[in-house]
Amino acid sequence: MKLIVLLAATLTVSSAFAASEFGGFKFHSSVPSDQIATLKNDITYLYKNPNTKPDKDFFAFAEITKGDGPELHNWLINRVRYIVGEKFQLTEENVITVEGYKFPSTPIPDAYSQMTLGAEVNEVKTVMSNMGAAYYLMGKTLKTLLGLNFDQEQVMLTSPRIGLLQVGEGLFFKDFQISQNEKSVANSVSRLGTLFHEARHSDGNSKNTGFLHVICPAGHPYAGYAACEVTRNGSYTIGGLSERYMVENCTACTTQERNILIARIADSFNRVVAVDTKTTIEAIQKQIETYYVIISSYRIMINRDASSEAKVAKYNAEIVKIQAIINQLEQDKKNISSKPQPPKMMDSTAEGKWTPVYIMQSVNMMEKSLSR
Amino acid sequence: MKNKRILGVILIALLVGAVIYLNRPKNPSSNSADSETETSSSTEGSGNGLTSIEKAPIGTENDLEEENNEVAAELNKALNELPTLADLQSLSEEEVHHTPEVVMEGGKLVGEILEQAEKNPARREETVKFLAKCSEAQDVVPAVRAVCWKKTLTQINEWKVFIPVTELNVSDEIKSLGARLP
Repeated sequence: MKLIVLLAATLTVSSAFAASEFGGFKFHSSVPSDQIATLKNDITYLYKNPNTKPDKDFFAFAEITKGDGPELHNWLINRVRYIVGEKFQLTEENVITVEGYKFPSTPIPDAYSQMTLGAEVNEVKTVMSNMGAAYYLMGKTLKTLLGLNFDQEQVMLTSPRIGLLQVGEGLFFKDFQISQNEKSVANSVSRLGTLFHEARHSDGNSKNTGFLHVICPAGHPYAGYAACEVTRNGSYTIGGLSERYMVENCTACTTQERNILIARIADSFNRVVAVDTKTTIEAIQKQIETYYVIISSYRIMINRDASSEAKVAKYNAEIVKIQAIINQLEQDKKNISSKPQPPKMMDSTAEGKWTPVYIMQSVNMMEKSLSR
Repeated sequence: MKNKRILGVILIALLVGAVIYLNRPKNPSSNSADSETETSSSTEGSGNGLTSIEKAPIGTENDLEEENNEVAAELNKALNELPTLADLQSLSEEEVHHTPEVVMEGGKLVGEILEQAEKNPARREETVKFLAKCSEAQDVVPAVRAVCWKKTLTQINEWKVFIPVTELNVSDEIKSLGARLP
């Protein structure tokens, strides 16, 4: 009897922390159930909506042919597989590290130094971010493969295409919705547009890994923020084009909803800019200076804990790692061309190791979930 | 007994007839377009709870001019409510990563104005003028200006509103952005 009670309790606990799955997307236990339900609804809309008006630009930039629901779902599932909630953090308890892992011997993107990893502001709600691309590049820089315990599954970030995304309350926050009717199609279209944007960060290789954002140049509405891109087929373009495609095919959207969505599309398109080398160099320099401050802090700690050999060794190891990052940044600074570069198409082939999902597989995943 | 019933029915019929006669339309030229205007005006509401129809009869040039002036004043006010470049300066990195709320509010305002003009044709001329002014407003965020420019061009054709609109004061950036919008 005691054994049965213990077994039942164990099962209850394990199911409480188990990830749920829908159409191939795996939701971590940190994603609230109402957010999962909303995303399931959005994915179903995408999969089932008959799109009758094609969008040549979207098809060309996303490298798709038909643009029907199954193909769009397949495009997403190849770039987004694991979704964690706003409260999820990579900590010592859930992180997995493999030192000495052999990453592709390609350079790190210049814009990596401008990335705002962990630049969360408390009062601001997270919308969505591609954690996989960020941690892949971090691992590559540190020459250490990073992974995480995704509830009961170990997920190793061998490529941005492993598809690890974080969703936050901002994506579902009522004040940020297109329509106050939570179930409106327009709300699904805007969330799906955000999903397409983030999914694109799982693409690219070498200097273009992750299609990273760059600092917007002087004179731009978002000047000084890392909220622009210098490629013609990056995240803002894909996000904007996917929304344009869905808006054109939205028969249930009202005039007001359409215009909010069109403003979002215009805002995305307006972020594709020419490379502003001066701002990029300044940003890298700022990053280098910050790392030097961190090194001097470690040196102070070494003096303070001079009696503890273990601590001194740990601090010295950290200094070596940071110095390697500084060296890389100095190299990036030297490599930047002094001439402004117009936006161009980049090779979207993803870097690293991952297993592609074929259309029949993703259709099966979706049909299985829909029949449940 | 039977005669009394017949008399009662006749009296009721006379009363109903009198009520219908007293409430008959005063202006025989009233048509479906006027009733559309009346519906829209009532939904907009005026300060004292009366619709513009109740204030004055429809059809005179003065009344139309007065209504146009009211709409123009309302839309000029809306022009000042559009999001400006200055509104984007105080945002955090996280807020700027995806389209900020303030930009979406701008799209919503333009959408509301278009919706009202769709319901009430009398507002269309002033709405197109508003859209043209919004496209030219250099302090307004480009995304919203591009929406305005796109709508200026589409609505002139769709509503058959013949107002001279010049491209000269609209920057190439806004025109090219507008051309890519649905």
